[in-house]
Amino acid sequence: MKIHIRLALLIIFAFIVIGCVGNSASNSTPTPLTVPTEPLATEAPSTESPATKSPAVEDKESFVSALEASGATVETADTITQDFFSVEGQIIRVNGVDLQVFEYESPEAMENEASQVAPDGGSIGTSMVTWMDAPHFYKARRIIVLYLGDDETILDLLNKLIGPQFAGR
Amino acid sequence: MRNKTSTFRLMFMLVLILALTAFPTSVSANHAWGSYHWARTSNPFTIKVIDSVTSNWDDNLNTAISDWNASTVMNVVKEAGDDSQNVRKRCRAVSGKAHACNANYGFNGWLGLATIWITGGVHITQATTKVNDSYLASSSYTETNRQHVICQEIGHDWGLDHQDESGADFNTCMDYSNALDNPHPNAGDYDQLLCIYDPSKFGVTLTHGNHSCTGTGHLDSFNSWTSSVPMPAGFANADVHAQENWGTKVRESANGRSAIFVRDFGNGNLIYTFVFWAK
Repeated sequence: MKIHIRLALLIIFAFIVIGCVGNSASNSTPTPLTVPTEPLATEAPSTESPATKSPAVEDKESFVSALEASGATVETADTITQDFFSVEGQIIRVNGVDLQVFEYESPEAMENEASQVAPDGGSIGTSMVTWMDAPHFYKARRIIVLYLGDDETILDLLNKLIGPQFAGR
Repeated sequence: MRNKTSTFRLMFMLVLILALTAFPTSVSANHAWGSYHWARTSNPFTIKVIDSVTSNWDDNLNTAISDWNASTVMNVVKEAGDDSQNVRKRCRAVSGKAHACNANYGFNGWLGLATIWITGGVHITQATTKVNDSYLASSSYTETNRQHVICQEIGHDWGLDHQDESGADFNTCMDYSNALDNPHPNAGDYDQLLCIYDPSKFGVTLTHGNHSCTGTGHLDSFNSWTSSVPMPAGFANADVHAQENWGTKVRESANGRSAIFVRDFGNGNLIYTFVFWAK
């Protein structure tokens, strides 16, 4: 009887191992610029968890409102231009930490740009970036938020308001 | 009872083997950046790096050029360039060459930025390397940090990706970590250049230390590293902001919200414009 239990446990362990192998097989290589062979999708599939994402965050304004509602100190700082994004960004200082917020005209335009970011955040399209700190990319409807750093309070706040990062370290 | 014990041992061994297969010791595999490469009809080919760095970066650039020139598939040579502030800030790409610049690009989060231009989907036609003095000129960064960054950005210009995405230290400037403590490429990087560019290594797996790659190299029918590469006027700096410059619509989504336009400059030089219409 004990041996049967051990066998069952081993088989379960084997399934867990196989599951880990499947999950670790993701490819971080960016896709070359070619015409897709599949029909165009107007809405990229969301990787965000509905359970943790605040539906209120849709654009820069609602993002700032959500941050303030959470009790964070929010300050709008300079604008910022990145070679690899098509829109001008805005630096939002949250509890003294800089976030770069890029707002697009439509969710589709945002998704189009977000799709160029490699899963590890190391490249955007045909640009490779050496970041000053660990990059974390978030997206919500019309905005991409970039945070460079590992401040757990900021990461928790972004996870709570927007959902998990879609790219980064 | 003995049979049951043997069965258990057999199962245990199977699971152990499976586990060892699933979690190998850390090995950095192929770190080619997609399929991007400079087109060339023979090896070694010559890439000129235009020097638009100020004197305090000259030694760093010279070292990086010397390091990458050690590859057997390419000759990397420096070409004198304009280092006026305007030129360095703009760091305009030059056909068939890599352009290296330093400037105060602002507190935008990046220390270095490498950009490549592609023709035919995979062929690099020009490249830029920017190193950001807004950060790197400060005392927070050491000479080793600076060397690591310029070495890596120029390495990207050849079509190399980061050697490892985990942040592990493989003692190469192509590491993807915050440490910035490896000022030179390692043997794995030179292997990767062979895997990308050397046809004699096609299908051959090269292994050095933690790095391993399998050759995909082939020769091309033209050279994208010569300034005479057939890049039609207006291709490299085409203005695609206006719709009339997008060319022909080749695809549209069912609801008409998105479309692809292609502007054909001939000889495989195409600009794709992906558009998502605002509501």
